[in-house]
Amino acid sequence: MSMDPRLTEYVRGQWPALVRYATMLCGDPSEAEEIVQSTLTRVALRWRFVNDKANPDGYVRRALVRACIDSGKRRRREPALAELPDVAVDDRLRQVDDADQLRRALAALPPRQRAVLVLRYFDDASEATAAELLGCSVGTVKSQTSKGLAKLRDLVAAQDLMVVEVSEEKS
Amino acid sequence: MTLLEDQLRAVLAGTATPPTSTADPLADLERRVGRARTRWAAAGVAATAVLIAAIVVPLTVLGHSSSHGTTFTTPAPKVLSGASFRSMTVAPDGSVWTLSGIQHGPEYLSPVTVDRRDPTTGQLKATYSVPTYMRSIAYAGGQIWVWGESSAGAAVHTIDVTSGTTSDLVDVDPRDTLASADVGRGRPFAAVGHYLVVLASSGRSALAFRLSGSRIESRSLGRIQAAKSMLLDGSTLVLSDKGVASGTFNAADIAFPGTNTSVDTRIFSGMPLAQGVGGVWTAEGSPLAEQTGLGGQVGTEVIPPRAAGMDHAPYAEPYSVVADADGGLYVGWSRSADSAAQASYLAYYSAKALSANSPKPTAVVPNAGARDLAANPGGGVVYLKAAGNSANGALTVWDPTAPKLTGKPATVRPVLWSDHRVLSQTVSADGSVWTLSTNRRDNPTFYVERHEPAAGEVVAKYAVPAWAESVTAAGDEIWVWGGGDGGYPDGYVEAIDSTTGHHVIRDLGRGKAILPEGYAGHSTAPIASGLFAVLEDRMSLVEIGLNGPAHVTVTPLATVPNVLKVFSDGDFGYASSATQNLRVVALTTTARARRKKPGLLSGPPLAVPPHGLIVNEQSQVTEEQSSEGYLGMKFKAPASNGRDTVPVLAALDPSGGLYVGWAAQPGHAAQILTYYSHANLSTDRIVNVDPSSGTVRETEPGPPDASVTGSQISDLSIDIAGGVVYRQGGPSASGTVARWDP
Repeated sequence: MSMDPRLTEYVRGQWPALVRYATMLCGDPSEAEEIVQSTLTRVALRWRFVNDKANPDGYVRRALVRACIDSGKRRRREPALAELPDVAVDDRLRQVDDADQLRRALAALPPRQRAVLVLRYFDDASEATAAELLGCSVGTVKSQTSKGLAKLRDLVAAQDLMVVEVSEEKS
Repeated sequence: MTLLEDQLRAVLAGTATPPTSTADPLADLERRVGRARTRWAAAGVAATAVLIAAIVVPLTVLGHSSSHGTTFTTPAPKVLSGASFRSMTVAPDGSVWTLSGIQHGPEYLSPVTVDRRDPTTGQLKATYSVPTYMRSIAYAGGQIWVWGESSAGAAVHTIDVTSGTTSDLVDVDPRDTLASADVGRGRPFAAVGHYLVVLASSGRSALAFRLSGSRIESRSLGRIQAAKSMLLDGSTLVLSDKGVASGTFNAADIAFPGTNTSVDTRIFSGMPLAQGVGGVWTAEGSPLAEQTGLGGQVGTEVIPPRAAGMDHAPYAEPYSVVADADGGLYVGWSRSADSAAQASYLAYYSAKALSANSPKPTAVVPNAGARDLAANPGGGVVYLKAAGNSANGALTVWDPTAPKLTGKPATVRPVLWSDHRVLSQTVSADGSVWTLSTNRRDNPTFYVERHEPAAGEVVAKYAVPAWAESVTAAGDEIWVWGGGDGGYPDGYVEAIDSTTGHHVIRDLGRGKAILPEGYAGHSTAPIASGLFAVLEDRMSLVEIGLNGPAHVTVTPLATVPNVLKVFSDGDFGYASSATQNLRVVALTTTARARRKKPGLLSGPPLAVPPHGLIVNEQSQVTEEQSSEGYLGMKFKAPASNGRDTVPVLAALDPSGGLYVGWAAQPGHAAQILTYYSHANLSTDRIVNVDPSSGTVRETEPGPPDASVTGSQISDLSIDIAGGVVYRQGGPSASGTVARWDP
């Protein structure tokens, strides 16, 4: 039995977007593709449970969020700070570096916090929608958002500090 | 909106799509789906075969062993040394080598030693001190290789297996740090002649080391994006390469000095794991397949055993595979797709078992926690059995090829696990035990407590309204219901988020309360979306779930007069009816419509295995299907005070074993618990049925593997950490919770 043509069509059109979305959620590009594949396989096997078969995007993304959180819980991730550049960057690259630092800091967040931030600041999901997707309360979404942003600030600040320290050491 | 929030939006919006490693993701997906469907179908057939094999087995229980002889059971793993080891390897001369060390931060507390041990007794034969930061060992070319990394850099150390002389290499190029995750993943190395090859630098490249005289040399194997390696035919090292098509492996040139990074390629569908008799055992997703290495499949495919609970984990990967000299295969199945996970289910497939179309394990070890699996020179396999989340493990051997003869059933004492006044208990999917308790008989208050099974400690406590009656784990929630007071005179149901503790309650209203629990029946059953339940009118079957985090929904499913009790198998809810002489209907809770025709059983259901219901038929446990009737399994009841008992409880554990609770008469709580292991139920010696005619020839039965007596046993729940958890005590608020792991 082959896959439903509607799912086939969906995968064909949405594959890059889903991998990109998973990259945001799990913080690891190399893992994102595998998570998308495994999630889509599960969706295909449970296709009869998908209500809106013409547009399964909501179902798939919801499954993807949970898969990324589960995957993140399993992984033992080394701190993102371990991968800091060992020299200070040029001012012209400062803007790029800021984004890179933020991206690394985001990847270092716990999986649930990272998912909350992606839902709120990429999907523009309301707190209620995010709560439903994550299977938690609105209060939890609020607190996780707040904690996530605070931790991002701390991580970025720590990276700045380390860059300065390394830079001073070099000089 | 803060600056950080703006930056976060920009960063997320600017996330690039990573390059796809698969040329055609859709084709890859369709292949995975096809394989999963095939595997599920095969798993169903295998499970049916196991059940049919089991159901023809009339098993005697307590006190009958002397008249019915003995039974063969699979030997349990034996701990050779309970000390904590970080790593283990086996040398061809028949010695087992261990690296000791108590983990303490990134390094180990001294002293750290590499020990040579006897493979049969575990006895220490020689010991060598190594630096405290050493973290793994492997055998290659007559040497035990030891490596690790400290703040000063990576270091490699060797010990000559014969002479015991040692050599050191320190200061490996820091860009090629050995501390990458790949080094710890179970297949980090391959021994090629006198070389040890490790994957390094987070999969960036591979390094080869060799011992030249007393000096260790190293060189890079190039820029292969290696993630895993496998030694084929004892001499060819193949490396997976993210830069080439999936399934293509580079055969590396490991000579010193080297020429090319890749001298050949091999094509496999999946990752090669072990050299087999007819080919190479590979895994792509869950199934193991034996392949020739040229893209062809030899024919044998091994799927995860259903008894291991892997059927709901489509991407469970065999973490570690060892082929024995007799053509058998040891497989450590992991529930996680993460290959760093330990094998939670160790299975042995004999050569005969592998010759079948759908090989079933010859013997299994549930909850094995195995890593560093290797063929044991003393017989069977040797591995490190991890305890909890520790990175270390105890040196353990398992040899299922030599069955032991056992006699009388064992009596194992349960552990009284909680002496609270427990009204009901359940085990949730996360392994926690949840109890519904009360503090006193008069004017009581009720609360739900969460216990951590390892320590038996209460880690969370939630007050619930009076008079709470029962607690059940379903989905991600813990469900409590009851009523009659406490603001809910007609009845309520409450859902507690097991992760956050967030709870939501619903007043069910007049005539809509859930039927009270009794020993004769269950009024609720867990389903994926919540609860399958019968209301107090004894005819309304409903689905209770959550609509968002703040609203409990009650959805009517069907009306069946005189419902006695309900069950579920996750997908379907079942209800037995008194007026229809135990009619059982099955309802899909998703489509909210009947999906199966009502059938008749010869007794009240006790448990719902995958392909039938275990029912109580005139003091006997039998296996039946609601649509097909009697299938044949009979368990003779044990005697209590000279009188036969009747089965009132049953539960299937993840390894395929069966717990049965026996009571003095129907409607009473159980007094005796018996346990039948999967090996006992599926022993070839006592399977004898003609499937075409249904003729059963009863042969020598086996006794239960273990039994225990108790007082008013109810609420039997499988504990995923092993054994069962159950409640003792009558309907008054004086119950206790006990745990029994035979």
